[in-house]
Amino acid sequence: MADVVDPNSRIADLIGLLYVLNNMFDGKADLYMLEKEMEVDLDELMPIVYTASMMGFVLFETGDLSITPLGRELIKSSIKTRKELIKKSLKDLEPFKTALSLGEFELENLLEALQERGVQTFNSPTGHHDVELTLIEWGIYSGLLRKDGDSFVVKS
Amino acid sequence: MRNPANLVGGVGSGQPISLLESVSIHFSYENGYKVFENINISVGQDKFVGIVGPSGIGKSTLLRIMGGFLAPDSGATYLMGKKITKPTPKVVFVHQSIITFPWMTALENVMLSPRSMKVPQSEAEIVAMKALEDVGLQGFEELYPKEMSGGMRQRVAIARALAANPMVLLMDEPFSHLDELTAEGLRQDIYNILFRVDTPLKGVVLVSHNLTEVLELADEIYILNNIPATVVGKLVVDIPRPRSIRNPKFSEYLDFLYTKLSPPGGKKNE
Repeated sequence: MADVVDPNSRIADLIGLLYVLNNMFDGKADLYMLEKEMEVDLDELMPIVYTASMMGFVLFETGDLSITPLGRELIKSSIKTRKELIKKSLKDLEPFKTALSLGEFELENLLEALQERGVQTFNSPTGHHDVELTLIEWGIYSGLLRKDGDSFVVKS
Repeated sequence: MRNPANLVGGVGSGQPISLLESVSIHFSYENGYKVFENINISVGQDKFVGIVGPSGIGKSTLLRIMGGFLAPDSGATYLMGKKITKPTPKVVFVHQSIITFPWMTALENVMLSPRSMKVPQSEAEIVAMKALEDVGLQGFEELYPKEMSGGMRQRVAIARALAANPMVLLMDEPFSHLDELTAEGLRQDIYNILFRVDTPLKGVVLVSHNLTEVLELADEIYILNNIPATVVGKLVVDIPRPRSIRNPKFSEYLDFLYTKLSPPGGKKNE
């Protein structure tokens, strides 16, 4: 199974999660404590926990969550460096891995290519919007992609 | 209740010239209901000031008076010693709900504020691009609000406020519609953006019902209570940033705020 950025995860959630872990829990907390502290449901917490873990910013093992050195670096960096770190971490995750192989694409092309590769996350009634939001939230924010009319283009 | 040393009972005067200062504000609704009685609030240079109070006390109304959007019955607000009688681009508002216009791109949304100040199109575009970059939205220029998450849309709204090159930013519950995790991430970013970016911005006033949020961000907190509302206390928050709620001072301050926010003569109001 390919690792996929959860369509419900957000940049601000990543910063929020890392900040809380680092400053309120000295870098390590169990999920239950975090849920209590943040006053959020597990359902709301899990997308960013999985995504942050796949990106290498946290370690998630048996209910325990800890911030990695890369995660610490992220929250201590300027916006510019943050973008670089996020960009690097996206390259092996879908839908970005497939996007990188396409170079320039419209959403339909990307959705087809993801299907062919067996990525099912965006194969849903909201898939079109989910993949668009994910590309914009993570890809355009980090500078990995730019938008050109209806097309997305991988920035060199 | 312990009283930390740096808690001040009322508003002090005799400070050097304030960035923004509201003096002896009295205000009533048209039906005669008295909302404010003798409110004094002073925002110093490079200060982040919080205003808290029970819901319905008139926090948003006070913010509108401070911005010159609403005239008090008596009293006045001064920007660098100069009386404000009408809204000025030097004091800009960020609203509670995300106000971005869905039919405009991010760039067009941000350009609204320099354009409203009669800045020529080409110059307004440069100012707006810079403001978007400052809030981390380089590359979002041509995107529409519906293509963005709530957190990103709120950044657009903040970029628009910054594009007016204000000296003071008035924020009315700017994080209340976001979920707690997103709000936390945005709060961390906002403080850095507002006070590090190369702008004329010299002060921020934040109205919020979220006491933890205000303690995380503010240098000074004014506490409103009673009917009509008065300033019942002022708190100078002496915790280094980034602030942790695990700092013992944090809960001490929180206790103090809760005590001051209790209904007069009543029980503690959670």
